Formats: sequence, structure tokens, C-alpha cells
Amino acid sequence: MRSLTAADRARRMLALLHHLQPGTTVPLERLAELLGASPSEIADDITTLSLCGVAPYYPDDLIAVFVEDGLVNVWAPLPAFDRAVRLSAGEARALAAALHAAGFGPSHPLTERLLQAASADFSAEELAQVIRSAVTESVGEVYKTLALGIERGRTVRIVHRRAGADRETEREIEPLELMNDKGAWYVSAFCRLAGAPRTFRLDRIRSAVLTDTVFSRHPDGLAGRAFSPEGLPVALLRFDDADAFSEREWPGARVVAQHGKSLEVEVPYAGTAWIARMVTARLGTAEVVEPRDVRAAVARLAADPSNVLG
Amino acid sequence: MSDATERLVNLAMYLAAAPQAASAARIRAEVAGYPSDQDEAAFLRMFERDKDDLRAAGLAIEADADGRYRLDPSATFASEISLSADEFAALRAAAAALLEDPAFPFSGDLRFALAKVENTLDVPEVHASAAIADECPDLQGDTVARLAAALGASKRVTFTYTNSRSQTVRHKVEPYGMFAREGRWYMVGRDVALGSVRTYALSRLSDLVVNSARPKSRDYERPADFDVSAYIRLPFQFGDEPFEAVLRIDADITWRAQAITAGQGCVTEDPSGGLTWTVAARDRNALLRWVVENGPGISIIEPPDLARGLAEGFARVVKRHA
Repeated sequence: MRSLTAADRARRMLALLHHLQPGTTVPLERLAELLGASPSEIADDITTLSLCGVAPYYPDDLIAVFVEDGLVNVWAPLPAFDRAVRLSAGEARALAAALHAAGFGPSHPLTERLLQAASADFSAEELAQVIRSAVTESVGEVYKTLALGIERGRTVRIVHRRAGADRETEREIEPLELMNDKGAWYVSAFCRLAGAPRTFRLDRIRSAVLTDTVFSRHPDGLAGRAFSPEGLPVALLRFDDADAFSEREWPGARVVAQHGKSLEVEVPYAGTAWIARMVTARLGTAEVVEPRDVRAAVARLAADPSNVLG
Repeated sequence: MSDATERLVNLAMYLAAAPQAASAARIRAEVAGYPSDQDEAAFLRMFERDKDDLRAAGLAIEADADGRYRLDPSATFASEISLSADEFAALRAAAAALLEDPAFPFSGDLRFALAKVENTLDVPEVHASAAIADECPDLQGDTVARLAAALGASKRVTFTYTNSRSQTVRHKVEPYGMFAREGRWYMVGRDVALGSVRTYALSRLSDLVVNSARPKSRDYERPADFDVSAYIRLPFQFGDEPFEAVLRIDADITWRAQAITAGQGCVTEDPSGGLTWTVAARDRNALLRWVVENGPGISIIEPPDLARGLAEGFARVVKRHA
């Protein structure tokens, strides 16, 4: 692990200061969590801060803090820095990049307001011209509602269009976790319509509305299962050209045989509609060997172009 | 270590509390931590480093015409940050996810940013995760961070690159921008030997060296009109046969248009409430496949033979699954 420089540590201590309001006690654990440090490191920081202040460095000129029983006690106003310091250029860049990754582009009101209040002379527009951690900027509004639903344990009513589906469905979900997979955001949830855990891609959610209905998180933790192939049915596919097969396109796939240029692969699938569409999209260069119902679904889909194209 | 940290915090406190600008000599006398037996030149070097360190933490330290220093309070301290509950929730979720993602290149700065903008310590547990890159995320994140530093300072970089034909070549490049797409980070830059702007997948790059000569001077100027989004392409925009495609997006999925088009091409409304999307393409088969994968609701208008190709492809699928 890289050792912290004096400058890094001073920066961390300065970032702590506006959380130290006079007359309050703050859990050491929470400060440690916020700053990505261990409680003992933050305790050392607090001890060092208690030795800092302004001339002439009499006791009343020093930062009035001490740690006791895992709590940071602040017993007098700070000599300075009672407000948060603005973001440095690097911090503003990191925040703008993170917001962009979550669907809040440089001109989104959230990004604009946040950077205007917290950062001096930083342009998220300019950053987006050189570094983009997301391609689209369309999921921000849905993201906000789902994030609040998760924090407050309240259900969210969504209008969703599943991949390959020809219509939208309205459903009430218990949102459990937001997940980014290769740049796309998903919400792992318990779907009350399906009566089962489901994962929804955010750019397929047309609208999301927070309800007043409170839910309890499932005790065995349904979140985190979203991309696990465990327990999913498996289809056997044949690809005419082994080079045309990419594991990145078929999560959890396993090559079982190769005959000349062709390849047989077992592919886990969560929905028949999805795998039928993926195979149909190969336009005859891939085939479902089994199961029969998936083979039939592919045949049905391709038989009527209006099924495929709408 | 402790002395240097204390000195930096003391200097920050002094500047924030000082009623007026102060000379370097006065600061030396009044800020605890500057050695009294240090010669003038050594003190000035230390003081310069200290100011740089505090500026990197966000402090706006100014010098007046007489060489006296003060903190600009309006540029140093944040205004009140007024976000709604859902905005804070979104910020926390995005930050929590990306802080733990090794492919996100700015996690150190993001942590400090969040600590500064968060106005309460009493926050609920955040449930969010991220995996921007699925191939060597640590390596990609580290490479992006180093390239971002090179890009910010306009320093040339050299690296070894293995292309999709397994050819390995050493390149010298002026980085112009970077983007993440479909699990990979890419760098766009001008290849000095080739004299043209190229895109490099960072997972194929190794032995990166940033030019360290004359660190405070720029090696190159990025074109003023550069926009990295022009280099983010859809799967059918790679290939050797450029053509223009016109696609129709049905009225009931126009709300997904931004996600579908990824900002590429030209979108116009048609009388039926749908959208007509004109977009550059380079691979016919990849476009056909993309249309099917992203449908229903997307159809090909031009070129007409491509639409026929789709119908022929469906016939092959039916025949194989009969």
C-alpha cells in the first residue's frame, strides 16, 4: 500500500474540518468511512489537528478536538475553516466524471448546481470533450428516484420496456442495489408484479416514481445476484464461425466442443425472448441446438419480421 | 511526517484566519513548523511547495503586487450546497459505486470531493456497485489515471500496442481524450509517427511512459475543436465499407432515442411521431445484427438492399430452426 504523503494527509485533515461542528460528537467510524481511512488513521489525524491552530498557539488558538470511546468531541469553535473548502480541479474532475457516469451530463442541473457551489473555475463541458466515462446521459432522472428508493426503503413504480419486448409494462419494485456493468446501469430489485427478483436496465425504464410504500430488505439479500448465471437454464448454441463468438456477448457462456470452424457453446439465459433475439440477430450464422422451446421461439420470431422489427 | 502535516494545516489555518495579506517573512515567523535555523532559499522552496500542496487541496492562495499572500475566501470556501434528497441519494450512490471500481480512474479525488460536498454524516447505507471495465479493470483504471495526467499537462506518451491483428508496435502519441464504452477504456490521440489521430483500446496497451522532460511545459496543443464524443462509435461503425444508413425509430420508443443513437448521426422527427435517423455505417452485417438486437421498433429505410438482406437473413434463421 502506498504510504500517505504529508500533503495527502493534510488534505484529508482539511476535508474533515467542516464536519467538526462545535459542541458535537462525531463517530470516528463514520469519518473514517467518509474519507476511506481506518478509524485509527482518523484518530491520529484528530490528534494532530488538536496540535494545530493559529499564532500564538495558546490552547484557545488550537483546534478543540479530542477522541474518546470512538467519538470525536468538538468542544469549541474552530479558529478557521468552519465551512467546506471548494473542490480542487482534480476533485471537480472526479465528481463531474462520476456524475456523468451516472447519467448526469455536464449540462444537467444537478452537475451545474453542484459544481457552481462547490468548485471554482471548472467546466464540466470541457471535461466532457476530453474524458467521457459514459456514452449516454439519459438515465439521470430515473437514477435519482431509484437511489432515493434504495436509501429510504420505499418502492418505486416504473414503466419499463424489456429488451425485445414490443410493449411497456408498469410494475412496482423494491429497489435493492444500483449496479454499473460495462457502463450500463441496472437496478436489482424485487418485482411485485413478477413476485420474484428481477434486474432492470435503467435506459429501458421510461419513468420512475417513488411511492410512500415502505419495504423491508429481503433478509437473504437478493441484490448482487443480477449477473450471476447460477441457477439459470442453459441453451446449447452452435456458431458456424468460432471467430464470431465472443464470451463478452454471452455472459457465463462455456465452450463445450469445436468441430472445424464451428463451435458449440452452452449459454445461460434469463429469458427466452432475449436469447431468441440474440440468435435471430446472427441471421442464420448461429443456431439453437437445444432446448426445443428456445429453438421454436427463434423460429417464431424470425418467421414474422414484424415480430423482430415492430 | 507529522511536522510537515502540522505545518501545512497551520499554514492553511493562518491564511484563513488572517485579517489581511501577509508577507512570506511574516508567515515564516507566525506559522508553527518552519524551522528557525533554515536559510532563506530553503525556506522559500519549502513555502512554494506548501502553497502548491494547499492549492491542490482546493485553497485559493493569492499573491498581491507586493508579494504578500492571502486566501481568497470566495474562491476557497464552497457556497451552501442545496441539493434535494434524491439528488444527494444519486450522488452518494454514484460515488459509492465508482469509489470501489478499480476501472474508475479518479477514486482518490472523488473521495475528497464527496467529503467536501456531503453536508451530513448521518447517511443511510448505500447499495451500489460498478464495473466499468470487464478486462483488467485495475490496469485500465491506472492507465486512464496516468493518461489523464499526461493529457492535462499536454505531455506526449509512448507505449507498446498490440492491435487486433496481433501486431505489436511501439507508439508515440499526443493524448487528446479518453472514453469508456462497453467495458473498455479507449484513448484518442495523434500518433506522432503516423501524423494522424487514432483510437487505442487501453486493454491492448502496455509499458506506458509519460514524457517527464520539462514537466511544466506543454509538448503539444490539442486542437481547439476536439471533442472525444466524435470518436465513440457504434458496433456497425467499424469496417472498410463506408455508407450512409437511414433508419426509422418507431414513435413508441422515441423516449429511448438517446440511448439507441448514442449521440451519433442526425435525428429528425417524421410526421407519424417517429424519428428518422441518418447515420454513418461501415459494416453491413454488423448493422443488420444491431437492428435486430435493439428492436423491435427500429427498421432500415436505406439502403434498400440492406432491408432485403434482413429479410433473407430471417429466412435463413427459419430454415435452420425448422
